[in-house]
Amino acid sequence: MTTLVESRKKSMRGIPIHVSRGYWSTVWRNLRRDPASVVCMIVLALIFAGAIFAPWLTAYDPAIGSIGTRLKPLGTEGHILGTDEQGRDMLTRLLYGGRMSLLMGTAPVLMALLIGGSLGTIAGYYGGRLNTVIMRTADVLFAFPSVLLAVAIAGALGAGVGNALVALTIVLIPPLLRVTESAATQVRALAYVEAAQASGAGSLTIIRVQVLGNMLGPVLVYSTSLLSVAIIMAAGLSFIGLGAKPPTAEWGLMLNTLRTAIYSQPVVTILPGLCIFMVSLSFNMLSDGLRTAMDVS
Amino acid sequence: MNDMTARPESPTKVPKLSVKELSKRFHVSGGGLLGGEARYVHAVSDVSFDLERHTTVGIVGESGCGKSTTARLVMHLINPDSGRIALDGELVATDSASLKRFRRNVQMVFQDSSASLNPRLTIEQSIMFGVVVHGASKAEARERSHYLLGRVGLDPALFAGRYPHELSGGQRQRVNIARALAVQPKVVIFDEAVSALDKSIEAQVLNLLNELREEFELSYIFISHDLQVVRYVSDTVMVMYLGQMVEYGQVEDVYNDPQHPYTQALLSSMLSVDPDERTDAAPIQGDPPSPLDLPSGCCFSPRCPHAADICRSLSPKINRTRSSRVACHLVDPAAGHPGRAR
Repeated sequence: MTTLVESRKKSMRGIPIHVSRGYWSTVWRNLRRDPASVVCMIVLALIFAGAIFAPWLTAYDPAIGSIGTRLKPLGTEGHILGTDEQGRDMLTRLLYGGRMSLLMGTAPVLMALLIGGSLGTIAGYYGGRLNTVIMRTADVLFAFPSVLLAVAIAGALGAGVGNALVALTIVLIPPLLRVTESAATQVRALAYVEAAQASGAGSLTIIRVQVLGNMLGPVLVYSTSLLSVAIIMAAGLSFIGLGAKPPTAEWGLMLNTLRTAIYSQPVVTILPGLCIFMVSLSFNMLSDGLRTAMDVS
Repeated sequence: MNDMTARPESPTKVPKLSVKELSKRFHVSGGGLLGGEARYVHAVSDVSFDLERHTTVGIVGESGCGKSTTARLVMHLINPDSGRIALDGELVATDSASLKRFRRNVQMVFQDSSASLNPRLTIEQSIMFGVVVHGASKAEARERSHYLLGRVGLDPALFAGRYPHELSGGQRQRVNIARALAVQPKVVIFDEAVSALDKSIEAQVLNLLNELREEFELSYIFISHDLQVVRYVSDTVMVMYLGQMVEYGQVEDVYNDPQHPYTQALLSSMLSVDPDERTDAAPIQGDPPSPLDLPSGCCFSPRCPHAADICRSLSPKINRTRSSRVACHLVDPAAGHPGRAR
């Protein structure tokens, strides 16, 4: 026991303890060194900041237009990005539209990650019958094409942002369930999990301390790539009238209403689509960058 | 006064850990919805041994003979089909609270030093995990992890904050030993714990194990395929073949005067640097039979030079000889074996 006291004294005297760079700080360093990932992160940060701070960035109201200024081209005095078919400022609409579009793209992924991720972890960790029940149920949902299923659910629940969120969440659960289940199954078979069981820890403690951290990599990469899909699906639902309703600004809905102006003002019409494309592409490339950055020993 | 006399046996007589008739078979195929005959691998059959206080039981045998399964069964990492395990004479129940108490007393060091450490946790965190699980505070756990790191020969100031991939195999196995000792167990199971190490490192770790056994008054179950190493560390030894115990006794008795033909063959395969110890004995022939389809009678009979009719028809019981326990008809005068082939 004297040695215990001595070792405490030692560390109290402040002998520096070597601390190695952790896994996640290594991943973050690798990600920062990848130019494509850095550009994607900057683009996403700008778009998210624009959406969040929209009221401070523009003086116009996104819902109020004027008949006199309909379909102005890019670079018009007072309307840098032109105006839409009701004479509303495009920049304002795009910034406010980002709020709705980004919410509809990211919230379902987070919800599905919470639900599908927990179920997948449980299925993978416990295995056996529980795994069979959970995974075969997910397979039933998998049998439908995801876009069709989202349309069907949103249609059945009725149009509206809330219902679209529910529909997207349900559609995103099975793929996330499957990825987390396979990650958990892999980690579960490793010797350190067995060692943790041998130390006397309960299942929840083992999942929290030993399993989750080692599943996070593949799940994070997959979720990021799902964000890019979800953004497009959310815009798609709004485009066909199952998501946000006019006059709400939403990129998919804006594409739909501007459709009529595609011959008179093609450049203005394309802007919401460009936003969807930029966000989706950035998430997709960030997911690739993340995968590479995580490829450390 | 009355209590003292009422005690059935004195505490020194009760073995630290007692394993009785432990059996496990794994289902392989068939017998489900699709029908077919259910097939099983008989991984461990009727294994019994006693681990006395402050001693080491060695378990030897070829790969696939059920050594590691025995260790996992004792740890309750796999549920046995039948058998009893008693710690200090008390049967171990399988509810989670009793298992937790049992695992505080019995710890295990695994073969793969790298896979048995979580790559995302620092050395210190890995050692602290079990200590915190058993109710110590973070500060206590950290203190104990640093003390034990020092005790196994790793400077805590240098190693506590490192990750497993930054360590060598020998250093990692020292960490695993420190982790096993961190919950202050009475029994430690080493499952091929030194087999993957260089010979020089292996010797260092073995000496460390001997020191730790004295210092912390531990009892070991030492599993290895390396006969020399088992002889070096063990007091008693159990030889396993196809999931069954074939010979069990004091290590010097078994090594100097093996009774079972399999033990004899195994020991004659041991390499020696002494030219006078060269053996002309024929090495053991062929591979062990598939554990899916065990031979009738004695499971060693297809490879045994002394096999007689009785060996092929009747499974031998465990016979007590002068010094050891042997599962062979040869040592049982009542079995009707015609005797050793010459």
